[in-house]
Amino acid sequence: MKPNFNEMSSLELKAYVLSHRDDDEAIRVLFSRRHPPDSEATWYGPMHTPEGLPIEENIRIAEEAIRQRAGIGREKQIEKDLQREGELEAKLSHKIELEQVNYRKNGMTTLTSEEIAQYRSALADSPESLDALDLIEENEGDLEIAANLLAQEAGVVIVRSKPSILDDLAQKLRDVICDEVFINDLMGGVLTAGVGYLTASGQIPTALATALVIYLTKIGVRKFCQSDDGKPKTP
Amino acid sequence: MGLAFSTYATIEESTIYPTAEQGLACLRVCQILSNYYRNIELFRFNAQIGEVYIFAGDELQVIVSRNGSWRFLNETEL
Repeated sequence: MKPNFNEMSSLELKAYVLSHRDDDEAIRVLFSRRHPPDSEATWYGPMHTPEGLPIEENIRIAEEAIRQRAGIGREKQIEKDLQREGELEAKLSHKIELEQVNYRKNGMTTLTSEEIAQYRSALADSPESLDALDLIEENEGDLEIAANLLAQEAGVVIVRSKPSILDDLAQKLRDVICDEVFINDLMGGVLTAGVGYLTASGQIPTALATALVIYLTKIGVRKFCQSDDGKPKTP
Repeated sequence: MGLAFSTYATIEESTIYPTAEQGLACLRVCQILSNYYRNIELFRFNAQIGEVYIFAGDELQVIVSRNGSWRFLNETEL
């Protein structure tokens, strides 16, 4: 059953015409809705004689008329595109935020007071490590927040598109981390050695290395090395 | 109704043919539209009325009549 074209809005009708291109009646109805009617409209003169000779004046007028409308149209189009881009960006930012929140929520990167106390005794010999633990405690045990702050202090580049700076750092230092010596240190609970090992790589300071070591201990360093692209390196 | 794929219309209704001036006007109009970065979205010669209809870009709609003169569908949108 064909729709009643006279009842459709011009917008609907245009959409119909575009998807039913051989429907003569639909397009006739659409183009019958002309404002103003033919008798009052601006008609632009023919641009060629029947033999094909150009009529320069009419060509010039036609170009000007279309330029005006296309010019305005183009600005609106650019505006529309910019707006769409902005909306997409906002959507993405929101998604990233949610991911970050989610990531922190599942507890992998939060320390309880008990855990903090345990880490304090394990890292008692290192003042910088204890400072890092203070910072973690100040931020309600949130490893990610503390790591972000420490990274900023140290001038370590933070990539905003990644939800976890600890994961990002770990990936960057994968070669150093996925080394049997380091893995054994961590699994054996010899955390100061682990921190020292990371610091010796020269890429991050002690406090940040502390946060990273704690993170790897929590998520499991061997598990980390076996995921994605990394395989544990043998010395 | 008509033959599905023919340019000219139906058995019942009279058929109007396009003219040379009309064709040449379409050539010019489409070229100018294209030069101003408006893609031709739809182009159709309607044989009942004898007019050519053109959609260009999101918002431009042009009618080309048999004598080669042409107009915008709506002048009020500017």
